[in-house]
Amino acid sequence: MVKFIKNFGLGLVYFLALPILLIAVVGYLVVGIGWWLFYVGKGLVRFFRGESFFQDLPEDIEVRRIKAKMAEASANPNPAPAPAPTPNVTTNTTNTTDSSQTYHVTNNFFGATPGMPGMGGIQTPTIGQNQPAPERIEMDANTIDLTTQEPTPSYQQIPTNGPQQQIPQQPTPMIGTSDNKFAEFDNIDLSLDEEDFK
Amino acid sequence: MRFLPIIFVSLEMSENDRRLLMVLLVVFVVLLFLAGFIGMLIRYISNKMGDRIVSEIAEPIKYHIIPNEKAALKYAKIKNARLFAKQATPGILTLLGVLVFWVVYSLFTLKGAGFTANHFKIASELMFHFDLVWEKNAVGIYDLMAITLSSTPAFEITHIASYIISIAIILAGTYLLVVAQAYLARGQELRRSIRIAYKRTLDGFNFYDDAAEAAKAEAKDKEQQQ
Repeated sequence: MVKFIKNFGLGLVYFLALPILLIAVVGYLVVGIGWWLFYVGKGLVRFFRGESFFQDLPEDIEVRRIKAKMAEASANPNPAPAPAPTPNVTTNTTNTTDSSQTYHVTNNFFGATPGMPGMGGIQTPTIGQNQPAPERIEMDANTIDLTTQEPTPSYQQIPTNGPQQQIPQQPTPMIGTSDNKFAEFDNIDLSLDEEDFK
Repeated sequence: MRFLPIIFVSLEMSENDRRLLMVLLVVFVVLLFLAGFIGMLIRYISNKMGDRIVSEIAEPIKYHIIPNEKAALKYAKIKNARLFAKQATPGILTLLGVLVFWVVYSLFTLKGAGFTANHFKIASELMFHFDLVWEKNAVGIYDLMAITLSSTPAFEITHIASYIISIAIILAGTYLLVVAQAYLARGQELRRSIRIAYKRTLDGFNFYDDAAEAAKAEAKDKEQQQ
């Protein structure tokens, strides 16, 4: 009610200022009719040329472009990584059956086949009797994107015979793994019992 | 204003004066409410139109496409004028239609009487007409003695063209005034919003608080340059 009375009072003030407002409005109307003639004349020419009535402003075009980009990004949250400068990755591949066979592969890091160790794909190491051992990767930390997901090898599956069959380069230790300082908290029982609610 | 002496000068009021006073009071209250509501309508249109145009120009400013206040004002002016052109089109087309109708109708009237006829006066027969009866009192001041009803609304089919022309002009004119008022209000709101958006403010800044951090940043820059 108070708000209404306040609005009503302001309305009265506006009404009292109506003569001045009317002069301003008529002035704007005259200017506006000038703009109307300009835009309608221009728009009709554009319309009969087969174009849109109003010409798109450069700012609006830019906004549309940005919005389209954002929509594309939201539709595809994990896009393929952008092409980056090609680092040289030297991979020493060894086989359990023939450990003397060593070769070097120089490849495009990001364009590599998924599953290839250290090449951006997720690899599940499966090591059997005749299966190839995990590859040992020697890479320059300055040129490789360290955020790329690396396979986490299982310690039990790594064979110990042979000098080159070592544990591959370990990723940054994460909480929950056996070698970090928070490992002791893994054994804490966080489950709730009925007694906890009493 | 000639009836004011009735209220303040005449100490002894007759029954007729009392009735007149009551009528005037009622008319005053009605006019007051009408004025208040018209003012509220003006404010409502101003606020609504201001919000609308600001929402239209907000994105290029938020995305930093428009680099400065001057460019933003130019962009806003174009957007505002375009919106006015869109909104005013029905009113202006109506007026143009009335103009064509008036010319064609007048050409068909006898000796072109339609060109010189006062169509608003003819159309006023659709409304009530009152006469004010004034009478000079002993002091020499005119007192309003009575308000009489002189004519009731009457519809004449032969005056239909005048009705159409008058009503269309009044409606289109009112519409254009409202649109122009919205145009004016949008312009004001745009100027205000853009001034705020591009304001270089020192709110919350203290030179002495930030001096140490600035010195650190400068030292770091120098280190990097070396």
